[in-house]
Amino acid sequence: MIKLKTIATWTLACWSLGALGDAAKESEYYRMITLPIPEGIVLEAGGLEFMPDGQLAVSTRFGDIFLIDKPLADPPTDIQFKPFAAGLHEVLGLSYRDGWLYATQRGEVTRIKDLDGDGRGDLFETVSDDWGINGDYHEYAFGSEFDRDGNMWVTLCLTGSFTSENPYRGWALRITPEGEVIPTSSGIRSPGGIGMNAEGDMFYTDNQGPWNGTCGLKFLEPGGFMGNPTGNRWYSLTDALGERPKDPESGSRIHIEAAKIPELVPTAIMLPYGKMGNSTSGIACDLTQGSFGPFDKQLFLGDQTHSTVMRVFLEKTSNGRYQGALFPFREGFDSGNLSLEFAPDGSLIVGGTDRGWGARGGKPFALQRLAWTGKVPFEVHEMRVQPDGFELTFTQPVEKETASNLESYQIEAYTYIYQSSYGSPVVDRTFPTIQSVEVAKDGLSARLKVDGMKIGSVHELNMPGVRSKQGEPLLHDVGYYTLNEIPKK
Amino acid sequence: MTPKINNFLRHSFKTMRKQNRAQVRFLSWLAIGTLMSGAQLSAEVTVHPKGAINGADSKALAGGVLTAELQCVRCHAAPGQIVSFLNTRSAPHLESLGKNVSPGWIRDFIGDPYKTKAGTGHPDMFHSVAKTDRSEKIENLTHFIKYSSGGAEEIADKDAVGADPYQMETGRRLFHQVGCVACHAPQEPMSAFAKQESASESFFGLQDLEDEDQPAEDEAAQSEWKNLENQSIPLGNLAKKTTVAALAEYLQDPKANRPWSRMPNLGLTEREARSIAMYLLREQAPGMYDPNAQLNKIAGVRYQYFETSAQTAGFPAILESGEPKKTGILATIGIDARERQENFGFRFTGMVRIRETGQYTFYTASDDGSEFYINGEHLVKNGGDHGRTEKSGSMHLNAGDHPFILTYYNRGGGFELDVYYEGPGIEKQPIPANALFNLGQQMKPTAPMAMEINPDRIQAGAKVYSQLQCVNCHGSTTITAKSWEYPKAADTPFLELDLESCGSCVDALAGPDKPKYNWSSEQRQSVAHFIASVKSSKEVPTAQAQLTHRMAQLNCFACHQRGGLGGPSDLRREYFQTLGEADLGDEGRIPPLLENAGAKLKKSWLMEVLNEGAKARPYMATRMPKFEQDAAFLVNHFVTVDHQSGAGSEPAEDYDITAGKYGRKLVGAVNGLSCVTCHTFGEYPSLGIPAMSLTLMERRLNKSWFKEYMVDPARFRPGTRMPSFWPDGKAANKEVLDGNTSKQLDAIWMYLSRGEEADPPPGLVQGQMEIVASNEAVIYRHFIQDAGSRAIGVGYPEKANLAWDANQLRLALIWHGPFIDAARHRIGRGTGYEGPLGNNVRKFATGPNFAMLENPETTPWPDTAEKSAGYEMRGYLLDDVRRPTFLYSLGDIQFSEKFTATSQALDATFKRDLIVKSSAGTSDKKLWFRAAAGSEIEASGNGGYRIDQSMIIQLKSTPGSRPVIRSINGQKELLVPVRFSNGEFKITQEILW
Repeated sequence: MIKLKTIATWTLACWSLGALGDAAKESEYYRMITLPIPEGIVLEAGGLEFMPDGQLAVSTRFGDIFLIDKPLADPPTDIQFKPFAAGLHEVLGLSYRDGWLYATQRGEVTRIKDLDGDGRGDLFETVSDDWGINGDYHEYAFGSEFDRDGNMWVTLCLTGSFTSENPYRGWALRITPEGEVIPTSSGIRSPGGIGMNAEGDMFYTDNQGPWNGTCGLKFLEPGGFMGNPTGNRWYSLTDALGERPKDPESGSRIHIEAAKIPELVPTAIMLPYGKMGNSTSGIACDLTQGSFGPFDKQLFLGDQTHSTVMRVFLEKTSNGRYQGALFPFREGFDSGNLSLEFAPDGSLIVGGTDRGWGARGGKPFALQRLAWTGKVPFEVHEMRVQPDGFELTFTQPVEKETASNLESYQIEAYTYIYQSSYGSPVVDRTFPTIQSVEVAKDGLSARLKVDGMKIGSVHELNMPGVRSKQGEPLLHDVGYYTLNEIPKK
Repeated sequence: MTPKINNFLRHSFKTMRKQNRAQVRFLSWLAIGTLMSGAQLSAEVTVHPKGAINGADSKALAGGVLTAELQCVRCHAAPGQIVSFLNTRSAPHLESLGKNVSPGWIRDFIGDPYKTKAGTGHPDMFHSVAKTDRSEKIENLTHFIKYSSGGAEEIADKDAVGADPYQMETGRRLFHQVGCVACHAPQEPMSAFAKQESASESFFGLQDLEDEDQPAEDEAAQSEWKNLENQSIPLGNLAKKTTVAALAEYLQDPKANRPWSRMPNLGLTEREARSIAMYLLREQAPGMYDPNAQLNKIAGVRYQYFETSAQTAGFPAILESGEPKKTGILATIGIDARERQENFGFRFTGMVRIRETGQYTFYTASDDGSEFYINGEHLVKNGGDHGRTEKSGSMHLNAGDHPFILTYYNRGGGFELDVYYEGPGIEKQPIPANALFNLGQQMKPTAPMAMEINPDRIQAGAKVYSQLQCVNCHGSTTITAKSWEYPKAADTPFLELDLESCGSCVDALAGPDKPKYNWSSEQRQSVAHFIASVKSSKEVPTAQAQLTHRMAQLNCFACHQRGGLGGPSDLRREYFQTLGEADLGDEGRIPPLLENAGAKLKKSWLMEVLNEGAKARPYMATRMPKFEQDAAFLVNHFVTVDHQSGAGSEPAEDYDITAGKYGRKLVGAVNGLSCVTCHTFGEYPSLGIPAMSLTLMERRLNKSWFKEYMVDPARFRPGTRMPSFWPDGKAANKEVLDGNTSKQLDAIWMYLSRGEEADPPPGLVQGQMEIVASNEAVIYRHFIQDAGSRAIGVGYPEKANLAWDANQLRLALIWHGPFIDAARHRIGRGTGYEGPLGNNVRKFATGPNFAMLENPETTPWPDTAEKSAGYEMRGYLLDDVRRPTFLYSLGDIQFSEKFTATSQALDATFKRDLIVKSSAGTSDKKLWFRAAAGSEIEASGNGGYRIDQSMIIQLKSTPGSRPVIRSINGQKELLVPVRFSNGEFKITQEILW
C-alpha cells in the first residue's frame, strides 16, 4: 500500500497537470455539438433513427417519440421538436421501414404510422409481443435496425440479475417482416445496446454481472449461447436452437468453457471494468465512407457511466466468430451515453441519460453530435493479431526510431472469472514480452513479435513512447485486444 | 429440486449427520489426512488459525494463537510480557461447566473428547487411567460437574420447545448466511440454496434429508467438503448435549453466561437465535417428516401474521423473510387473526392428512394473492394483486400426511381467503379441522438431562478433578475450601518446552498424569516456532504484531483481509451473500478490506462498529459481530498502526454554509454528480442500487482518506463499482466551483458532515408526476396495478380513465378523477406497478373480453387470453383527439373496442363500442362477450343491469342476441352471445359508476 503522503503528492501532481484534459485534445479532431432541448421535454434518448425526410426520430425512456427538424443544423439553432407519439413503454429502439416507424417497447415491437399527415402517429400496430414481462425494471428490451433479411432483432434483459422469470428473458429474438418470432441466441444478461457491423452480423453489449466478469461486446451468433445460463430454461419452449447447452462451470474462464460447450460464443471484446467504462451501451458502425474520419467500418460503443464513446476494430476467427481491439475515442459527454446513431452527414448522434445509473457527465439527459473536424488524429488505426504477435496500423506515419524502440511499448494480459456471482476481479495477470518491433517502410504499420500471448485474455498494449513523424504522441496510446484465437502461421 | 442436486446435497448432509451420531466415518477419512503428517488417528485440534488464514504463511502467528487458545501458559509458566501478549483465552468455569448440558454428553466428552467433538481444544485427560478405574472415575467426575453447576435439571414436557419446520428452515438459512459458517463448518453446500429462491421452496429441503442414502456422485466435491469441516471450529453432537432454549439463549448473547467464549455476539433477535438453535438441534425431532410418527403431531395449522407499513412494498416478499407480527395455531385455515384490512399477510404451515390414496385437487380463492405448496410442489399459483380469483392444481397423493405451505396477502381493497380440496370420496370443501395437523414434536436432548446425583460420587469426583488438574483451567470456588487440592505438579516453563520430546502432552504417547493433546506435526512446529521466535527476540512485540495476533485469535481474518492476510477462503466465499438483489457485486457480499482501516475510519466509528455492532452495509447478509471486550484494544491498535503521524481522528471543521450548498448540488441528481443514483441518503432510498448511505460517510471516514479515495476508488478497492468523477484528479463536472477537484471534494465533505441532519440532495425527493389529459386523451403504457405488465392506461379530458390489459385483451379498470402518477416509473430505475391516482376504481374480472364457451352454462370463463388459443393483440388506432380504438383478434375474428367519455352532472360515464368482425363469415355460436361479472347482477329492464350496487350498465347489441346472466364458481356473469349479421356484430355498453 502506498503511504498516504505519497498518494497526496501524486494526486496533486495530477491535478496540476489537469488543465489540458483529454477531451480538449480530442475536440481538435472530433467536435461536440450539443442540441438544445426545449424546456419541459425529458429527452432520455433510448432510440435514434433518421426519417427519409431528414428528421431525426428520438424515442425516450419516458415513452415519447419526438421528431426533430433540422437536427444537423450547425450551430444548432432553429431546431424544432415535434411530438410524434407519447405514453409508450420505455422505447429502446427505433427503425424506419416502408412508411412505418418501428419502436421497441418493453412489452412489444410496435409499428407506427401517421395516417392523416398531421405529423403525429395514429395507427399503432403490435408487430410482436411474443415474450414474457412482469413489473421488474430490469426487464428491458432493445430493438435493432433491420438486418439483411429484413428481420428486427430484440435482446431481452433478464428479470433481475439472477433470475429469468418470464419466457425468453435472457434471449435475442428475431422478428420477421411477417411478425413471426425466431428465438435466435440465448445467454444474455443485461444488454445496453444492439447493432450490426459492416458485414451485417449482429452484436450487442452486455453489462458486467453474473456470468459476465466485465462488460463485453458480444457476437449474436444465431444458435449461439452468450454465456449467462439463467435464461436457458426457455429452451423448453422452442426447437429453434436445438438442445439446451450444457451449463458452464462457475469459477472457470469463458474460453475454457467455450472449448467444452460448442454453443458458447466467447466475448468478442471484453471492456476492462473501470478502465473502459462501467456500463457499455449503444453500438454504431461507421459506414460514412470517410465523412467521420479514417475509421471506416469500425464500431463505436457508448459507455453510460463514464460518458464516453469508444472505438472497436474487429476481426473474424477461424470459426466465424469475432475478436478484436478496443480503443478510447472521445470523452466528456454531458450525460450517460445510451444510444448511438450515424447521421446522413457522417456525424455521430449520441443520446444520454443518467437516471437510475449515475454518469460522469452529470446532466440528467442530453443529445449531442460528434462531427469530424477534418483533421486526422494520430491513432492506432487497426490492431490485428498475428501468429506471433500483433500488427498495428497507424493513421499517420510513425517516426521509426520511437516506433521500433521496444521501450515505447508495454504489454500485459489479464482476464476475468467466468462465474455465477456478480462480476469478477482482474485475474490471471501476466506480462507477455515484446521481442521485436518492425516498422514498415511507409511508417504506417508496425509488427510486434510477442512471446506469451494468452488465449482468453485481454492484451493491454500501452504505447506511450510512439511518436508520429511530426513528433506527436498518440492521441490515445492504449489498445485492448481480446484474444480468443491465435491465427495459424 | 432436481435429483442431481439432491444427490450431492443428500450425501454431504448424510455424512454430516452420521458424524454426529457415530464418528466412525469421520475418523476413517481423518486417518488419511493424518497419515500424511504421521500423527495420531484422530482429528487434530481446530483453533484459528490452523495455518489456514487465507494467504498466511507465518508459523509463529499460528503458533502464538494455538498457545493462547489452548492455554498452554496456565500450566507452563511464561514471562509476564509473553502472557500479556498472548491474551490467553479463559476456560469455562467449573460452576457452569455442566449447566444445560446433558450428563450423557459430559460422560462422552471427558471420556474421549476427540471422539465426541472432533477438533476440540480440550485434552484427553483419561488416556493413561487404567481401564478398570476409568468408567468409575468418569462417572464420579460427571456427578461432581453436574453438582457444581447447580445440580441436575429436568425438562418438563410443557417446557420443551415444539419442533417447527418453518423456524428450522429460517434457522437453516440464517446459519448459512449471517456469518456462523465463517468459523463453523457449513451444514450444507451452498448449491442447496441456490436453486431455492424462497423459504417456501426450500422448506422441503430438510425433508429430503430423511430420504434414503444415495451413492456419492462427486468425490472431488466431497473431499473439498471434508477439508472445510477440518478447518472449522467443531460443534460436536449438539443434539445430545443441550436444549433449544439453552442454545438459543447462548446464541443471542454468548458472553452473558459464558464470558470465556470466543464466540462473538452477532446481534441475533430472540426469534433468530431460536430458529438457528432449532436447526442445529434438528435431530431432536427425527420424525418430523415421517408419516408414521403421528404421535408427534398435534391438531391444527400454524400461522404467522405479517403487516407492512408501506402501501407499495413488502408483499409478497415479506411472507418469505419478514418478521411476523404474531404466530400461533388455528384449528382451520382462516384470516380472522388479521389486525387490519390492508397490507397484511399470512403464512400457514402444516400437514394435510390424506386418508385415501388418489388424485386430489386443491383450490385457493383469494383477494389478493395466494400460493399453495405441497410436498415441495408449487401446486396453486394464485399470486399477484387481484380481486377474488380462484385457482387450482391437482396431484396424486398417497394416504398419509403431506406438508404444505400456504401464503396469502391483501394489499388493499377487499380481502378474502378460502382453501378447498377435493379427492376420492371428498367433494370440494374447505379442508376440515380433522385433516389439518402440525408438528407438535417436543425437542429434547437425545440423552436425558436429568440425573440423580450421588453425594459419595460428588466427593470422589472432586478428587478426580483435583488429580487431573482440571482446576488449572476450569478453576473452582469450593475445591480449596474443602481441602481436596492436590499439590500442583511442577510443569516445565513454557520457554523451555521441547515439543518433540517423547511423552510430552502434545505427543501421541503422552506420559501418565499428563493431558494428551491431539496436535498435528505442523501444529507442534508452529508452537515450537513461536517459542523460538519469542526467545530470540528481546523486544516487546510491536503494535502491528499484537494487532495481527488478536485479529487471528478473534478470527477477524475469516471475513476480512488486511496486510495480505485473510479474507474468506475459496471454500467459504460462496456463503457470503447479498440480501435481495442489490446488484453490488462482491462489494455487496464480501466484508470490507481492513487495509489501512485505522487511517480510513474515525476512531469513534471504529468503536461504534466493534463495540456496538454499528452497521453501514444493510445489504450484506453476513453480520459484523460485536467484540465488546476486545473493542478498545482493536481500535487503539488500528489507530496506532495505521496512523502515520500517530495523531487521532481529524478535528471537526466549522460548517461553511456556501461550501455545503455546493456540496449538496454535487451530490444531487440535478446537474450534479448524481451520487444519489446509487447511494441511499439516510431514510431516502437511492434512485438505483442501495449502496451505502451518504449520511454515514462523515461519521465513518477521515477526510484525508475520503479525498484520496474519491479520486481513484478502484485503487483502494479493486473492481469497485464506484466510478471516479475526478478521473486522473480532473473534475468531470467543470461547472461547480470551476471544476476545482479539491474544492469540490471539500464542499461535498462539508455537506456530508451534516449527516442525517442534511437536507436531502436535489433530485432525490420528487413530488407526484401526474399525467393530465387536458384537451386530448393521454396514453400511459406501463406496469399498472390490476391491469398487468402490458397495461394501456388512458386518461380522458372528462376525468374518466381506464386501464386496458393487453396481456388478457380485456378492460381491466375504470376510475374517475386524476389519471395516474408516473413518478414511480420516471424516478430512478422505475420498478413495479402503479395504481390509479383517482377514485371510484372498479376492477373487472380477469380473463379476456371475448371467449369461446363449449357450454355456456358450465364452461368457466378463461382466466387468460392464451396465444395458443389464438388470441392476439393487434394495436390501437387514435382518433383526432387521441382516443384509442383497441384492436385484437381471436383466430380470424377481429375485435375493435372504443371508449368515449361523456361529462355528466356528477361523474363522467363511458360509452364502450365493440365491433366484432369475421372475414371468414364465421358464425360460431360459441363466441360470447362478458359484459360484467360480480357477486350480484340484477337486470332492471330495457337492457339495464346493476352490478354489485356499484355500477350500472346499459347494453345494446345487434338484434338476434340476448344477454344472459349465469352463475358460475360462486359469482354471476353477464354474457352476450355474438351473432354475426353480414359478418359483423356490434355491442354498445354504457357504463355509469
